[in-house]
Amino acid sequence: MGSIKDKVAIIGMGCTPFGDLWKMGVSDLIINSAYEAYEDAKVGPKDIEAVFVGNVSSSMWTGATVTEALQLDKIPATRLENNCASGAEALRVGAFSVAAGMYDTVLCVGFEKLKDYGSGALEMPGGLHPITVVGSAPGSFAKSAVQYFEKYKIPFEKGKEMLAKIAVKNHANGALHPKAHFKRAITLETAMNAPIIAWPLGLFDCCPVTDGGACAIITSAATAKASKKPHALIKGLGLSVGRIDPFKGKFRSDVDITFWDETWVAAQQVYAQAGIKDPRKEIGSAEVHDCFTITELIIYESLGFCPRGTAPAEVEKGSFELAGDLPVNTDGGLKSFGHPVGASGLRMVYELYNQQLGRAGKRQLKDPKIGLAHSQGGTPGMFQAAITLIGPGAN
Amino acid sequence: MVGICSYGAYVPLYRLAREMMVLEGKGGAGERSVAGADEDALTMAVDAILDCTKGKDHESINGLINASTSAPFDEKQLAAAAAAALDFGDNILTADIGNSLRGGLTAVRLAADAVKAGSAKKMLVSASDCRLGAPLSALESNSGDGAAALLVGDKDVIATIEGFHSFSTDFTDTWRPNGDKFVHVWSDRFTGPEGYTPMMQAAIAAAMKKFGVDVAGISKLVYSGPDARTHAGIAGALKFDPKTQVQDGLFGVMGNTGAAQPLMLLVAALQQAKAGDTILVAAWGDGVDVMLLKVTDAIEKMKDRHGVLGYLKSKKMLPGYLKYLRLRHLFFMEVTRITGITPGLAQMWRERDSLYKLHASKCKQCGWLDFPIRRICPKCYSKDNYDQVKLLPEKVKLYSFSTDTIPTIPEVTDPPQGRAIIDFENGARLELEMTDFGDIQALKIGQPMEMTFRKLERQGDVAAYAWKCKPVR
Repeated sequence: MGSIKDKVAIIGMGCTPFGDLWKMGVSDLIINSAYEAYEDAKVGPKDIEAVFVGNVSSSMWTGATVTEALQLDKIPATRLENNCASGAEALRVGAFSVAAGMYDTVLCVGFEKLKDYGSGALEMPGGLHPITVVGSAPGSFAKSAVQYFEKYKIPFEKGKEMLAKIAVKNHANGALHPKAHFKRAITLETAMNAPIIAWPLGLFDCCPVTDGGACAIITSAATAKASKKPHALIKGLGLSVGRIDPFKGKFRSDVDITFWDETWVAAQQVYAQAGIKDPRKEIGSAEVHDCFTITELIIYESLGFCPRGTAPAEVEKGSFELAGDLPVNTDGGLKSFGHPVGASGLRMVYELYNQQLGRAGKRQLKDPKIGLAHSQGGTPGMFQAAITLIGPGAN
Repeated sequence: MVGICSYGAYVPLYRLAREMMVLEGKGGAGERSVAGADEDALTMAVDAILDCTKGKDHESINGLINASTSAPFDEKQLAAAAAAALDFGDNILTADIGNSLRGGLTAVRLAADAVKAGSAKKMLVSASDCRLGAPLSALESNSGDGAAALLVGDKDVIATIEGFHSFSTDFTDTWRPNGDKFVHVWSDRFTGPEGYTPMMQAAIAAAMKKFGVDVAGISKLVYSGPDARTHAGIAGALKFDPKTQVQDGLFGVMGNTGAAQPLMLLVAALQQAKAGDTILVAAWGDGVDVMLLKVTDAIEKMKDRHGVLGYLKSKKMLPGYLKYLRLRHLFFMEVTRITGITPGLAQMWRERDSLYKLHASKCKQCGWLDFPIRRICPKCYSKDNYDQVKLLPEKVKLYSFSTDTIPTIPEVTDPPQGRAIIDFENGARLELEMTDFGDIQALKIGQPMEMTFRKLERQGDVAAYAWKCKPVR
């Protein structure tokens, strides 16, 4: 496997506010985020040479959805789908097209319009196994919590409290971001006493269903350097897709639902590309796929931030809080910033990019080092894990 | 000698106290059994057959006849669906007997005649019902849900069949016109004195005369009836001792289970019978069927069946009448979601060996077991090189579990839905729905579970049934 390190630069980014965006259609999500990115990158619609779009909810949202919204005329436009990693995919494949020398100014877009389809969990009409897929994502991840508690002998109340602390952390961070879906800090009691969604997971253990869009404009590192514009460099791109699909009714006796294997593999890919030996020390902050609090807990271990079974002690120490040694989800994560599926991967990079450029406001880290964005589609048993590393620019 | 070779029954987990079955004030005494939201005449028949065939080889069964007045389909056979789920062989006789409350005993007669004629060796008979009385009616209160199954054959019989007697009449006491949801009832001032009471007494007396037995020669009289009081009148008039000679109608703990009632009461009687006992069974509905049984020594081998009495012991009381209406799909909540997931008939048919028969694939090269059937072995990559192995007979343990208040299904009648990952003893692991689980916090990883065939709740469903797991009862 080769390396993408220092070949592609992000020169502009945009992100809509996330939330119940009843006043915004899909075009609005694309336009509002793209024009923020245009302004940031100092480019216009005529500069865009190709478009890569990440979206999950409908095969009818295509590359043309973006060219139509932005009136980009007769340029290459491709829709990519990799479940919850679709936003990360738009950036990954876009970066490869730049690295290959095909295009010099590429727009990577991620969006999702979910609220129009009604309330409840993430809608995935079509493609699910008609019989064996029986539940929502909370129900799947809840079983990982039950197994994790059993495996590491964590008493129920203690386990609930540990998960609640992750929600409290993410809400505290999200409260500092003006674009977050929930800009509100919560107490440990609120999180622990919330109604059960999928036992043992309560309301605050689950990320919301959200509308939103995010964009990146990328170019070659050489072009970015020559332009002397502020930018960030891509340091690594990893993707690992499992092969046991519970959405298709498959499960297997050797599946360990207390560890995210695909995330581990994708992390090893990017650490090798970026030359990272000790992620705990070399990563400045991480935006991770906290679709549920238990997911984030297991991600700490699966990204190699701490050994297996030690995440609960790290939560207790506050290691991943904004003031901790490795802040995780400085913008509030999926839990508080929201999770418009196709947009999330780019939203994470938006935060890392802003941290690199010193634009993160009250959340600004002293030394952002290399930032890690992690998206994880799928369900325990099979994931599409995508990881993007973002580092400082060349000038 | 043709006879009953095995018995089984099924009483759903839920009970409703009749005192709650009123708009205000206090309803009747005792409780009735209530099928879960994912149960119907098909699923309860499957559960009763599982109880009946415990330790028996499914492949040697030559036929299945099911009797029910509440089959989930007007067109599409219940028995064939049950036989498929139970992985019976393909070349068997299957038939449904519908429409009559005495159909279960009629089915036993047809099965016994088939065995006697030599056209079948082992015939299964099941009777199951989940009838609906109009809300707050006496019939709703008096009814119960349940199923029974009998294996009829001529080897290793636990009770020999000594004779049958049948009487047919067009007397109408309960009926349900085509398309109606609820069973209609004539006034009991008419139906008892003019129909049920004299006709049952006459048919039983005629059968005893035909079989050459008198009251003293019968250890237990088992017979169906609409309610406790009307039922009690028969035995008294025929001079049977109600204390020792009459099988309790189980009205106070279960209710009238319709077409399943005569066979369920017979199973209850067999559970208490000893070798040498003579049992007279009579079933009411559009006439009367009567059967005389003589219990053999082999009755002692049946102790591991739940039967009616075993299942009656494990129960969960419903919190109120509204919950009953929900479970019977009579009280709806607004669906807040727009999209639905419809199971594809074609896909279900393609994958029937996994979905209905619970077959896993076992790699012929490396032995890896996978469910559902997988064409490429994940371990050694052999392609299309597997044997199909049955999971249904395997013991099951709970690996992990949760509830789900927002499953992908647009409307769940009895939320929250239970979900589990289970391990079969042979190594297969399966993620699936969990039903009848009670208190989620009381479940333990590693606890024994059992499989139960249940209805899936789907918008636009065609014939959506699947295996679910539940804690062992």
